[in-house]
Amino acid sequence: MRKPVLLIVILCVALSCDRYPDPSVNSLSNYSFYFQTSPGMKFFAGEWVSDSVEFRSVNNVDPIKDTVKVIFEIVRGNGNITVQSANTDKNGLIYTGWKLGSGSFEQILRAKTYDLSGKYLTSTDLVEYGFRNDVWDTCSFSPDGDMMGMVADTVNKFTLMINNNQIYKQGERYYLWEPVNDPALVSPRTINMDRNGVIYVTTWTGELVKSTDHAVSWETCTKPFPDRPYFIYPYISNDNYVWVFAFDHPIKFSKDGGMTWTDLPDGNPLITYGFGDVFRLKDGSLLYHGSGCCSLNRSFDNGMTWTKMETPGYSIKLFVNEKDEIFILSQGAAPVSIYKSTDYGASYSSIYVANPQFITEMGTLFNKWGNFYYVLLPGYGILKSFDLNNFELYWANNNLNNLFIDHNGVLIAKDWNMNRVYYRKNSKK
Amino acid sequence: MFLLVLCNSAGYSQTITTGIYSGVNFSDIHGQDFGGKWKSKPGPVQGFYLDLSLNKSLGIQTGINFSTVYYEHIATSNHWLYYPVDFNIIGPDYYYQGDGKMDFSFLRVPLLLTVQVPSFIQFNMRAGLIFSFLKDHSLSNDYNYSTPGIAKKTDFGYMFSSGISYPLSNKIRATFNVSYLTGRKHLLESSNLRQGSSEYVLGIDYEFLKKNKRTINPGFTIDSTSKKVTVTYWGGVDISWNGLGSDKAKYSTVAGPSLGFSVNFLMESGLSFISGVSFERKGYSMKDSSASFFIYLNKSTPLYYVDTKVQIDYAVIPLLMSFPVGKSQIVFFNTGPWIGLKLNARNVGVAYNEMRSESGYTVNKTIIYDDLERYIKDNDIGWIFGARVSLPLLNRFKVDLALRYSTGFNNVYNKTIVAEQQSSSIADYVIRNRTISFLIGITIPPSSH
Repeated sequence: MRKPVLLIVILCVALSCDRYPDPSVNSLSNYSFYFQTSPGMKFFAGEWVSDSVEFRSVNNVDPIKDTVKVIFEIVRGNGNITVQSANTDKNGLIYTGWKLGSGSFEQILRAKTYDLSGKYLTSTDLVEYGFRNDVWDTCSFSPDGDMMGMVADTVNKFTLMINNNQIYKQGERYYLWEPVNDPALVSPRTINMDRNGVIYVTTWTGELVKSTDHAVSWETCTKPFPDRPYFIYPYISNDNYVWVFAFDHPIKFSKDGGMTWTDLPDGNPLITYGFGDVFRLKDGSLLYHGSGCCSLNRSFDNGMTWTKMETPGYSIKLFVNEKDEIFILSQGAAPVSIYKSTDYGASYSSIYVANPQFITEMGTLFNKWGNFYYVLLPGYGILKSFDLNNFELYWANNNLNNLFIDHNGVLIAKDWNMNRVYYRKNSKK
Repeated sequence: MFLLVLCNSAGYSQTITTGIYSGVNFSDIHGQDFGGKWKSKPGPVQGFYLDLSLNKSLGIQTGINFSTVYYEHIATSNHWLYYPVDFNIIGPDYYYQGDGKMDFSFLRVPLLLTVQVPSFIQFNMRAGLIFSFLKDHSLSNDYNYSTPGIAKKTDFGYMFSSGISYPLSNKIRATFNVSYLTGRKHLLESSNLRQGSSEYVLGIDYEFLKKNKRTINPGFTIDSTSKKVTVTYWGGVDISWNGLGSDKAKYSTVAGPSLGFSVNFLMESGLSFISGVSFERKGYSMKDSSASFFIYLNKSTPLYYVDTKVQIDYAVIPLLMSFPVGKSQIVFFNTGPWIGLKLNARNVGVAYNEMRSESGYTVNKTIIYDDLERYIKDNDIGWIFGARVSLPLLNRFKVDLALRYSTGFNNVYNKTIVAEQQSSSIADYVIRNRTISFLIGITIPPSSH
């Protein structure tokens, strides 16, 4: 009797004891999914991304059982696909055509995967971009995302853009940019163009480089400040003079395309106002406004002497159109006003009042394409005007900082965020 | 102990016993912070001892023990995560745990108090201190010790032992002993790990200075002592669960072994006092979606489907009073406190998690074996209620069937340690031991001793 009791005890103890394996991690199921078609490509809306967008499934645990069911769907952009649903082939591949729509700039094709028992596995997105007409497309790409300047030659049909350290030429499509390389173009910083199509580039080391053959070749001009190894501020006036400004240096101009330089005399008032805009009026006089407040000056002796002119409010920016009408951007009672003078500054009238999000250093505010002016007010938006008397708020966007127009009339607005730019191609000229 | 002294108050001449033994130890490291599995590795043990009996039941024992203890750590399956998953990265005790091995060779000197139940097959218990002197050691570099290679040269700890001896002749007995040793010092500098092992040894005793044959050969005499003191060997199953207050539905029971002995001191009118030692596995199980492998926690990610058991091993010492129900001396009611000394604590089981991303889909199965020793307090106390049926068998033995319910008074979850390392959601956790035991025992009658 002793043995059966002992057996029962031993059995009870044995059953309640358990042994456990060593710690480990094993994958019971492991799939990898990806589109073999490159993401992030740019197209025009309505174009085919490809007639065979390729999606692949890989079963990492059991490669023999690669097949999964894939359902394609358009998540964003309103495009079209040719294959809605199918199983992957023996190589784990499945194809569909994808034509972009115009519902959005960023367009998404989604592949939803299921195993053959119908269990949902995951969703994989392919993102491509479709540029549309008559809307602003927001881009955060490189190199155009950090665009700093642009020149557009409508006669010779090309556009150049500069970002932080490189010049690019617009490609066959307005959103494509190809780098321009030349031994003379070392560390370019600014780009400008005169009325004859001569392109001027300044560098981070204070050099002035120009191209007289539409960016085919480049030559270095006479360095305006030979003792200065740092960047300079250039301005090309409407009489094709090249003006240069630098801290603690005299203001200079060149009337022969940067070959020789003429210093403004010591003691001229412009030195206190610094970098600014210069316009040649039809009577031969020069009009200048610096980057500082209330600095409108006029010279009748080709810059040798200057006379300060009164402006309404606190003037901060000058523009003169082809009719010698003077436009002053001024801070005053209203946050920002545009004043116009048709009598060479003797009197002004307010033509637009705006309330921008911020006031900042202002670059090119007045752009003209076709019969219309596009006026950028940083921190406010873009105004459109036919006659510079009446304005419409073309695009309210208080994050804008600059505006360019390429040689085909595509508007390119720069965001205060250095990585973002907006394209708009208008279908109507 | 007091009862044993009283029961053996007859005149007794002192006996000196010496013996040699050899056997195997199985490593059982202590103080692991969290994570990973320390495998129980065998190692050699041998030695001799000298026992001075003060009377028929009590004595003092010392000797020399040579042993080598082998440890091997298997890294937790998710060592790249923080364990438990909600672990705070700023926790002071976190360090990477890789696989690794180490071994230590000791010369040990025990100083033990011995208790013997006089019988033909003599049953004995020992408890006391053991002093360890490190003779040699080796460490692999895979396990990332805070200060690798610096091992403590000396250690002291506790030793508990129990065994039986069988007379081969008038002065020679064969012995079998099971011992449990635990060190108190950290075995390495800046590490919480402590030595630990269990030993299983066979040996030979030789008794000398033995003057009175009648006192050392009670196998042929049924004296009053044998009638008053009986030993019952128990085995059975513990069904345990966590008696916490919240999220009860998320936890379930876990079965574990219960194995030990009890000494029954018969008193007046059938009343008896019962004590002894048993090895018991308590704990609970969890089967749900959780971010932690041993606590229901669904407030963070990743979420696992967890099917795990928390196992807490105790050496349980009951102190029970036994009352007969009726006059039959067959059915008894037992009640009294218990003291539990934690031996080990671990979390074992399996967890599954499903991960989706744009580039993939994965289902992982994680085999869990994680040491939780420092998360569980070193001891617990509670109360036992039980019933026992004692049936005669072949006129000489008794078979005991017992049903016990034991409850722990304390929250054994170590909040102090946890609060240093975990978010408050983890630190608020509670573990209260609750156990129902189904036991079968055999009481050896005095005539068989």
